[in-house]
Amino acid sequence: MSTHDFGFPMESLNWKAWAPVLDLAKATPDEIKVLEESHPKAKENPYYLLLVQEAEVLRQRSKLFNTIMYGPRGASRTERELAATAESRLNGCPYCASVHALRYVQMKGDADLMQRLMSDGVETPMPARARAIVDYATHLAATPSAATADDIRRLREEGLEDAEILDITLSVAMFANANRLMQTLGEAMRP
Amino acid sequence: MRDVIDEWAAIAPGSRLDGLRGLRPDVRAATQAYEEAIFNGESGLSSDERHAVAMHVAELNGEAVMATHHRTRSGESARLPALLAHAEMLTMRPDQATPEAIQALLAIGLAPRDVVMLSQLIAHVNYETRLLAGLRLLEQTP
Repeated sequence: MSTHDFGFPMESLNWKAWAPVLDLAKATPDEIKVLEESHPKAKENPYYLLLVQEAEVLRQRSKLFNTIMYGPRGASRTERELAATAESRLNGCPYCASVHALRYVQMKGDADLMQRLMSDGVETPMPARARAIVDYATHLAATPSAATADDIRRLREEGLEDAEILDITLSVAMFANANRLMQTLGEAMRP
Repeated sequence: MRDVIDEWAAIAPGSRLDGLRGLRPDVRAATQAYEEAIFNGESGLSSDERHAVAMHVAELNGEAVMATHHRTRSGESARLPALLAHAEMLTMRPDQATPEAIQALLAIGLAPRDVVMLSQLIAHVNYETRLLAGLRLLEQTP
């Protein structure tokens, strides 16, 4: 099934790997440790069971992902999730988009805005501050040179400090990474 | 601790950007450790191949300094064209990935963990190019 047939449902999805994954029964103590460091449910998730076959790479990547998305920051977790979801929607990764759309709503983001972003796309109308974040995120996501000084000026006009803009940049950079792993090593499935 | 991003973006110690990045020391440390795990780790993909793929992804994203860093460490192999084609698809058209593309990599002799390494490498360079571009914009926008 192609991404286009699948759509962007705002619900928890499953994920199926396109390459053989690690058999958890044969995991080394170090592989178990990396899985536990990566995600609370990594041992049940074929995505992590695939990636842990390069255990040290996954360990370092998980440290980077978890600090960028969940560490204490200038930019709110809600706005980091908004940037990540908009990019995932643009890149066509339903699994990433659904996880982070739901997290955005849990963090008391605007549920109506997020529902429209998922169903209609990143151009759906939104307040100026969210618009500035989504525009910067999708420009930088598409290809780095598509982001411009004008994007940065608009973020500053909406009251974002440079430390917050760096945090949004990190979220976008991390999802340039996450989308490419999720959407090219397997596919989203309805539960 | 400085990382490869500081080097490629020519962020001078004590500069405004250095101070900004200094607020997130764990990002610097993890970016550097991820870089080293990818390029220095043992893998069925040779070091020459890994750097050649990274060079291609850096070029596709318009990052000349980063491309030069990898070019000097890169080399050829018989299967390199297939690896570069995969890197180009992941970088430019990730929504067109298919299970057949993964099967094709396994068919030319990559083990599953080599496919993971290749994908992590391509994804990592795509992370780095966005971070570099964002830092440059923060520097250049008055």
